Amino acid sequence: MSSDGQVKSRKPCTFKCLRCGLEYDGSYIPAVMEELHCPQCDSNSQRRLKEKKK
Amino acid sequence: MADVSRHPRIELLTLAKVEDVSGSVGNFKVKVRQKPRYVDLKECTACGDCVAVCPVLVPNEFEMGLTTRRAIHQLFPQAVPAAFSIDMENCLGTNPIACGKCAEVCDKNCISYDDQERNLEFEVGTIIVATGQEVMDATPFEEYGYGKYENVLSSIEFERIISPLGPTLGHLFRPSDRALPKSVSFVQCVGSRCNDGRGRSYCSNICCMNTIKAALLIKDHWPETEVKVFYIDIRAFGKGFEDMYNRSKASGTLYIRGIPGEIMENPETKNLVLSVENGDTGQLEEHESEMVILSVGMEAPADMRDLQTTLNLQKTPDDFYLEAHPKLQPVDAATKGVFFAGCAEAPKDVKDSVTQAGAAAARALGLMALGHVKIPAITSVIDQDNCNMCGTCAKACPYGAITVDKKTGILATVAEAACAGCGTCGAECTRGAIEMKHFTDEQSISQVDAMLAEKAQDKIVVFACNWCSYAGGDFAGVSRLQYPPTMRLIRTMCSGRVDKKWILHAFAKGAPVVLVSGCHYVDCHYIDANRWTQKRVERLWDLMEKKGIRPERLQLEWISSAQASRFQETMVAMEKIRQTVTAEEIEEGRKVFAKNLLEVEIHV
Ligand SMILES: [Zn+2]
Repeated sequence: MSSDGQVKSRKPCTFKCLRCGLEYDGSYIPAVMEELHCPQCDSNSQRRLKEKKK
Repeated sequence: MADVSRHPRIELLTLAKVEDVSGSVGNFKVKVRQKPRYVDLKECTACGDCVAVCPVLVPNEFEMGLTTRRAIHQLFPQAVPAAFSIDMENCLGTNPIACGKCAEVCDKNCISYDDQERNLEFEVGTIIVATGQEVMDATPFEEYGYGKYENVLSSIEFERIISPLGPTLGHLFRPSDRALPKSVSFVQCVGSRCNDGRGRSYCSNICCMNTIKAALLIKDHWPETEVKVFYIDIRAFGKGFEDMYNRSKASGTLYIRGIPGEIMENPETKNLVLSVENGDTGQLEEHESEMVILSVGMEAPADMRDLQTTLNLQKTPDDFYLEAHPKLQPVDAATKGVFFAGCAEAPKDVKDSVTQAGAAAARALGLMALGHVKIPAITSVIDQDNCNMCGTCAKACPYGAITVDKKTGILATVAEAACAGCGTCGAECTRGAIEMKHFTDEQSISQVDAMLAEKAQDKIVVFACNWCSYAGGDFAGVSRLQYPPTMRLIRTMCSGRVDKKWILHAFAKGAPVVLVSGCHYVDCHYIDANRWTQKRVERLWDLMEKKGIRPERLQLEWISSAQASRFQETMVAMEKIRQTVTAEEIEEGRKVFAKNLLEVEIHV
């Protein structure tokens, strides 16, 4: 459940930490901003790696 | 409450819901929808003749369904206004069979089955939000058998049972046999301090004292009844509360440190057996009790969300409203002219609610007595000649301070009284049509130019928000924390103000790395402006990658004013990244963004 109370499904995706370089699997809710933290270095510079465009 | 209803300058609107609020402090326009009551408020004297003849019986919500009420009813005995209303969903008044008995007996002819919903509009200067709280549902805690075992009740149901005005007129009994229980057990923290998704992680503030009060009351009236309280820890921190707790212990109530893992019912006696690990002895124990009360926590009402959108309010992760500042503006909303009273802001007891309500009223009064508001000298300025009415600024404004409408040709206009000066509109405007007083593009770009004029390759450009990350830097300084001397700070009120142009300009001027820093999500001083910062940085990472520039050269960090060491660590990390940036990379950034600044400005 997101903060507005609506059940929104999380999308799996790969994140990349732009500080320490760690790539890891996570998920996000489309159109909902969340504070992101690197599980290794705690940096907020976390980039969602785009799925490869066809 | 009765004083409120009689006050000549207070208009009380019951059965009413705020549908829309527009405008800003001093000039709010409020739309209210008021449900029909079907009873004339002015004429009804609450004599009760109508109730006596009403043939419809439905569960009484106020009494938690422990008794019934009629279709024409008063919600609870002390309800204000002291008048009846008809629950039309259950009334037989007009449909399907004409009953009309209440109308027949009403001497004053107060009853009208044709009463209609009313849409009302008001102009008000200030708004106090007092949305209250709701009791959590104990059903998900299946191990306690709530809803399954007759003698397991919630604390709010128990409250009605022992109330002199409740369904039993204050006579304690247990539901299965209506007999006075010889033993009653309370289980604390049901739904509160719960991290497994069935409740809320916070302490609901009032449950310990509510249980202590109930235990004292039982011991007072029925001293033979054995009372046990199962708890994690007792939080009796208010004035006189510890004394009350000690009195309860002295009266014979047994406090056992440990929350039962399971409650089982003896099907014959309907007694309940609580299995618990006693935290004081470390022993697994079983306690039999004739009745169990689950001390359920409090949570924000679900419909608080509607008002959140209407008033541009900010919520905490707990779903209560967030105050503008926890210490300095504890009753103010971030939206000017809006204040909080009671549980709208967090669960609290009557005393704290009354205190906060008084503070909120005083804050509102102070503003209205003054007749004018002081606004910060940093509000946004819109160059309407350059506005194409795209509406991005209005969407980005956390305060709803900007009006623009392409359909009707209304150019972007900012209501200065509502603008808090975060500058997000200016940073998001794709036409460069919005500036923020004292934090203009020119001023910030000049700072970038100055700091990169010499040895640009050795510098770290840091944009820091006034309230959190800049203050975090300050704190790191006064705490004598060491960090690399290569960083150069540019202060903005909010990270939302950091324009993409400024960042790209820094790269064009040879900056090896740039950091954008702001408040953590829950701390953003401009409601949610820093979400726009993150979106913007994410778009810039994509652009940098597309242009062959390493996205790592642009970093984003949330640093609170208390996180001096996080500020230090971030600067150390920035320095490490800076050292990886080669002279060729800096040159590439310089070329790419110097040439394409105007072009990318439009497309980012
Ligand atoms: Zn990392």
